[in-house]
Amino acid sequence: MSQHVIDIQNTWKTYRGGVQALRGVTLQVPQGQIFGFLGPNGAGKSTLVKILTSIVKPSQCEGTMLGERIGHKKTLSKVGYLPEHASFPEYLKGREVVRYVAGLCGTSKSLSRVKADELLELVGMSDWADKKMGSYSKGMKQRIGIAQALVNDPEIVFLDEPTDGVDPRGRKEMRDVLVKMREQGRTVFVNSHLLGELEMICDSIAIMDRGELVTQGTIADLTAKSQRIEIGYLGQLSSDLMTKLSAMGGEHSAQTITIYQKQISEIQSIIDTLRAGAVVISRVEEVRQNLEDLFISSVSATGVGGTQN
Amino acid sequence: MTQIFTILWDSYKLLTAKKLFWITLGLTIFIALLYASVGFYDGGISLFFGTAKLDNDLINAQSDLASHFYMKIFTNYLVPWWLGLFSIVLALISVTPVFPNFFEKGAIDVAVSKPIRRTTLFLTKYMGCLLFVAAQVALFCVICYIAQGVRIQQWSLQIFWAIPLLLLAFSSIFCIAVLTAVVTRSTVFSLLMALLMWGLGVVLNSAEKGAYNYAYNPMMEIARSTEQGGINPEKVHQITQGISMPTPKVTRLTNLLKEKVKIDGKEVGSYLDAFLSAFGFGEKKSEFKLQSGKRHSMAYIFGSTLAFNIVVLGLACFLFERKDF
Repeated sequence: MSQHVIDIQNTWKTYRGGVQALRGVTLQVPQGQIFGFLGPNGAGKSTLVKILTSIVKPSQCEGTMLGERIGHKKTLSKVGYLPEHASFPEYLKGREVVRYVAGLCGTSKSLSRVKADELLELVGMSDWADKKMGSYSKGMKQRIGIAQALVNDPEIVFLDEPTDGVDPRGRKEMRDVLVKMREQGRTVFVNSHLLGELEMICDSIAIMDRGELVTQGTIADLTAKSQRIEIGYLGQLSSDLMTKLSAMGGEHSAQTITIYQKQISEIQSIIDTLRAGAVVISRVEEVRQNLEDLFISSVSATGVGGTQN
Repeated sequence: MTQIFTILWDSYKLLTAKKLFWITLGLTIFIALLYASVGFYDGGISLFFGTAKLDNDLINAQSDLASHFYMKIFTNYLVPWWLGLFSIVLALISVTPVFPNFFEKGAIDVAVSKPIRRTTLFLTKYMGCLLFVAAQVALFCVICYIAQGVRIQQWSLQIFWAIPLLLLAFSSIFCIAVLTAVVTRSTVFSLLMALLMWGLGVVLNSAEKGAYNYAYNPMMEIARSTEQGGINPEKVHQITQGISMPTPKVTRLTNLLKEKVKIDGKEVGSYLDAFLSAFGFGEKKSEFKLQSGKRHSMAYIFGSTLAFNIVVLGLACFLFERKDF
């Protein structure tokens, strides 16, 4: 098996009625990472996850997941899934939901009992495990959702908006759980709109828009293009000095000189030039695009929003 | 097998969580106990475990008719009316939401993303719903079986034919609700379609019965001979029979129990009717009426309803297998 747990090419999905949700998506997800899957509403994120989990049939899809073709039923025993707006039977207790999903995965009764206890502890629901789902808050239901997604010891876990409805403390705990999953060697595929949270934990990301993959890679690599150094100064620059700085690759605007894609060691000559011109330097800062900026710039290039999915 | 047991266990939890399940079960037990409360003494019939007595010279503990009378209540009234009508309607109302709820976004995703074939998932879920009816009919039959054994010393295992017959009858209505649910995901529409198809089946089968009566009943000879316009009654019957053949036959299925349950080799209903009519009670069924009741074999009724079930359920399963959720 390759180092990519998901390796798909040329994935298309056209729903009945002609709505094109995916248009030739090619995606590789590295093993053992937290992978953030981003995109505006209707970009096709959920459709792709549903294709990978056999909920939706692709119009066309080449490639593999865990070394098997997409749609291979047995492979799903190594996959965990928390759908967006997960709805579990209200007549079951939290513990029963986890054991029900374990049973659907073919896990034995004795093992599912042990796993349920462990996972309920992990997601902080042990004290509520014997209460009916109907009495849970949205955040509690999400925690049970995470527990059921892990009950079959999956190699890949798909989480669609896992922190939806969860309070800030719960989100922090959820992030810790995701990191723990990664430490256990699992690949965590997270579909979320909360870019700040993803930025804190994701190793790599992919951004989709209008059924197409716009960009993919590690956050460091993707934001490297926008990496720059800004030098702030006080007072005015002479036109002679500005000409010199421009020749050295610096861009000047509003008492800031910006130098793109250079290391701090490479800009020492610019600092020297400013100092020689008796310019007062107020700051020297390495600036990099954050995930939100990257997301906005990526989807802006194609136009935000997309086809219905 | 773990997966199948899990789905059945979930169905059990779902059913027991429904108030209507317990209400229907309570009513079923109440009616079965009411039946069990009927007994016989030397001078007639006792009711409510002996609290009320009806003197009767023909039907009493000394008469053979008591057995036939007691069994007829079961085969001709309790099974067709309680189990075959009211209990089916209550069961339909209870279990029709199961599939639309199962298809809700967020719920279906979890189930179909598991390593279990969709066909297995679908059919096991369906079987789980049939448990609703099976549990009620089985309990009803057990109480009635004990009552018949104690009251009239007839330990007739044939009454348990009610379980497969009523399950098939219920299934032939419920499968329409499930097919509709797969297409529309709507509980109300599913229930309406099921009731509509049930009604259509009743109308078509009644039309067939009427056409048979017109074509073959000797009493209709005069009407047939005066008929102008060259309509062939036998042809009309053939057409109506052809149209009604693929429809569910709930009433006829429940009536099959009368043929199955016998006392000393005699059919319960016909024996009692013949005996009572000889004493001037009720009207003796004509030879034609008896023949008309048996114009279709058990294999025809059972087979055509089973075929209807297989086709409708097969189509629902096929659509479920291919559906995007």
